[in-house]
Amino acid sequence: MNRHLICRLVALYPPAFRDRYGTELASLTDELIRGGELTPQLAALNLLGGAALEWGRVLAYSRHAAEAMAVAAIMAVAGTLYVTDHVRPPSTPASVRSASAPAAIRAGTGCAFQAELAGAAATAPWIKAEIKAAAQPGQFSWVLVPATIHAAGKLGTETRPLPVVPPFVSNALASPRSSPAGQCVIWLNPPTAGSLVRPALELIWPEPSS
Amino acid sequence: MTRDTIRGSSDRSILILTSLADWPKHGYALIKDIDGFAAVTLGPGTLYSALAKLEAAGLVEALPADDRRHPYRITAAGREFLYERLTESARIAEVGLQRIAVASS
Repeated sequence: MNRHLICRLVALYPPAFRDRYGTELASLTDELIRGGELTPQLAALNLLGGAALEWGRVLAYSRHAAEAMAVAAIMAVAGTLYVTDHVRPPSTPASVRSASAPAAIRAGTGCAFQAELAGAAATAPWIKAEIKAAAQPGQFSWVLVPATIHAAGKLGTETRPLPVVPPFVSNALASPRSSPAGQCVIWLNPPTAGSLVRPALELIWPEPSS
Repeated sequence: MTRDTIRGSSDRSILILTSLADWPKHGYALIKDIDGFAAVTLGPGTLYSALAKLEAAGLVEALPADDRRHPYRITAAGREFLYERLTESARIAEVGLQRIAVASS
């Protein structure tokens, strides 16, 4: 596979991703192929799968049902194509019965939300959470932060400050203190399947000074 | 589910963060390092998709480009995230090994 074809495959990625990582991605792919460490066929499949996943992420920020269906289709294709390494594509665990309730981000305070999940919080109190936040409808950002659920029986409440306010989120929210009507939705990824629990969580925003 | 499938379910983010835990690396060095310590060969598309997520989450950051390639460095938040995940994995591994030992005795 020549450099021109690699660039054409990289061009399939979403513009933002392409602008940020396209040159590096093409250069690395070329280097791996020239070094005999990656076959052109696997490289093409990997780039196609990666492009599908990135488009899936872009579309996932949309709230429209039609786009959500497109995301599902793209993710299915990506799951098929993304086989050129030994790692599965990320997905929402089937055990999550997400019933995340949107909650307002109050200026200078935080956002409270509830999530419903199938997980054994009593036996696995440490749960990583993906937080989807938006300052305005249509503006969504994803960030991974560690969240802790302290389970008392099957109901738990935990207050967890963000360890760091990622710049990605800060940018997306413009200014948390001046974003009176945002939404914050949390998806919990329980490490184990189990009985249905309904933990109440609170995300402090911004991080309180200690 | 085969052994390879289970092995392949390793978390890419953790592999990348582990690779960056000692010093910054660019894409090629990341792939070679991860292949060396985890026997998992990431494709270039896979690597940069994961790096994009990690960078967006503030867990890694790009350093100034060196010959068109950006080295990536783990952030303080990335170290904390990695520490928590590895601690959790170590706890699970310890329980599993103990149970295997009990069952074998």
